Amino acid sequence: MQALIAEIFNYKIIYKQVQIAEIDRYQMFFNIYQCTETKQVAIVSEDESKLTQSRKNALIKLESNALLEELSHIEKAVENAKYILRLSDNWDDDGALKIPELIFNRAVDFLYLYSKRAFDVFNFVIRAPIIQPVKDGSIDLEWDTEKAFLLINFKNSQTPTAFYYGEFTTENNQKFDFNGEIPTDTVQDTFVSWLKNLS
Amino acid sequence: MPASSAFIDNELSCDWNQFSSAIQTKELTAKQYKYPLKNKVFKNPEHYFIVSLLVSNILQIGNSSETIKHDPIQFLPRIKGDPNNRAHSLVISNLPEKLLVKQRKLLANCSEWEIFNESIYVNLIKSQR
Repeated sequence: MQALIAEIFNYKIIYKQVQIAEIDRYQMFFNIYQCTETKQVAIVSEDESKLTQSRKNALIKLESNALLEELSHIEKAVENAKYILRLSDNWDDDGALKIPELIFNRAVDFLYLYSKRAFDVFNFVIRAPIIQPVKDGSIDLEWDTEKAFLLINFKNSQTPTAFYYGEFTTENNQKFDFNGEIPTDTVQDTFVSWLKNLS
Repeated sequence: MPASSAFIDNELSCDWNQFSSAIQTKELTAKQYKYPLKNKVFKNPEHYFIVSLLVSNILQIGNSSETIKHDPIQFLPRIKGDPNNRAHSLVISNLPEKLLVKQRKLLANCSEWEIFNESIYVNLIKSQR
């Protein structure tokens, strides 16, 4: 049997593998995929040719949505922030807008995407940010460390972009700032490498 | 450190400490109506914490667009739900979105807690989860 993610798609195995026998393996896989709390996932097949394109796509989707154990603190931060989705209009008693699910997901997907890229390619682990709702219906991701800080704001708009501002202080006490606008649906490696300042 | 999300308004209402203490500012929220004002429900001061910022730090943020204006609220006769406030002031800025993020982060960084109760904060967040 093959571990599909590892061997067919050349992706990393997300969770610990277990072997599942005498069951519909694919159905099991899809059930587990829908249960994000499950930490053990079996993805096994005898032959790649048995996979339909939709199953292949589902596997890729699993890869892009699940995180390695080393990044479980990111998942925990996201779990803790899900209360944001339950906030209704006027959640601050001062006329704040409800945070659209689209914006929350945009911020979370961005966080997952960059966390995984940092770990897989740049070999460092991003700290968990503070995830905050903003009264205009946008979402903030915010990091503060001794040497650096970063704020990314995901605007309440259809355009998949975010604005950011960060600063990094060197050992010689020199400050370098970092700001601009970034698309949220693709990874920019220059941005990932800057995130190392927060690790 | 307070979160940057608290500093979103282009006109940030604040109180000048020449005419108000942190405790007085907190207590004044009990005389303010929640939004929408037509419901005439007062805010709960226990849901608010107070930070302070030095004017000199605000002016050093570097966008050159921040201005601070003393803007006392004085209604005669008094208006229920919108209390008079001699200390009321505004931090005004009209920045493009790209610079607004910078301003919010730097305002948060140069602010200090005057009144903050972690256990109340944790309970408030838990009640939303």
